[in-house]
Amino acid sequence: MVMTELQIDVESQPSRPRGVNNDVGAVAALEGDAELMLRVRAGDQRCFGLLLEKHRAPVIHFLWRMVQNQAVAEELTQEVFLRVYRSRSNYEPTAKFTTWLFRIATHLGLNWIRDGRNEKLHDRLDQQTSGGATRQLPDHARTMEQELLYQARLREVRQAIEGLPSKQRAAVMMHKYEEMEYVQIANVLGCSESAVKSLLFRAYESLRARLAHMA
Amino acid sequence: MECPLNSGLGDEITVGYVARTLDAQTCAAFERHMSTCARCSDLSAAQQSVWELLDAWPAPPVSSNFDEKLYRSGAIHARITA
Repeated sequence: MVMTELQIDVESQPSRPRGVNNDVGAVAALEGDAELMLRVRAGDQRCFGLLLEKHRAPVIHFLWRMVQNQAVAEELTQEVFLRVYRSRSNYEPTAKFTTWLFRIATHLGLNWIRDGRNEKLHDRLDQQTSGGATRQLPDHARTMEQELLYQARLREVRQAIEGLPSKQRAAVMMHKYEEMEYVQIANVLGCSESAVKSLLFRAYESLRARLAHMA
Repeated sequence: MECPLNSGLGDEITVGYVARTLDAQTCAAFERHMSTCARCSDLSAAQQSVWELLDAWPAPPVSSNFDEKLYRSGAIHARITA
């Protein structure tokens, strides 16, 4: 996939004079992601590191909630950032950077789900990550009974999300956790704003029904 | 405010209210409306419950070797320290 296939002509950011700035931290603070990506295009690889630092966790978490397996989510996220890096020479700031980033992530996540590779791969709640960190550790402030109840509730939430059609799932993840506006979700998914609202409202209706007993 | 459920805006107003993305005027009007409309009040409460359950779904920490694996892949030539 090349950059030109991914970009959407919305929220254009003006191109600015390019050049390597030694104070990349200041660049990151003062200028946007598109500017950093333009600097990556110009050969400043440290700016890629800044983009990675800023967006690594949101992309992994988005994909983790999509595929519900951390190893897979991290593998897909590696591919997302590789595609960003490989596309650097063609980069033009014609869309918000995160729209492009999440479009790649969503494409990979939806393909993975579509191909049925998610069978029996879901993480257990107490499973260890590939990097050794333990996920969702029991909270020792809770009693055993409270912990069991908490884990049961989490399982129900995850199952309710898993029960959504994959595109609805993606829309909810972007709306709820990335706090994206309808128009940005539409640009990520390549559909109209009204189609996004329809997807989202059906998804939330399903979730209200499936989780009503937990209210 | 006309009942959003009758004007076809029930989901949009309710989801926006819970997500706190409504403008202040619409938010206030909806709150006044809910004080007299059980259907909208119930729908809002159900959406709020879903919102809170999703809030309580934590994401795992990123693996400590994530960047190392990315840079080791070969496509990115140099190790970059942000």
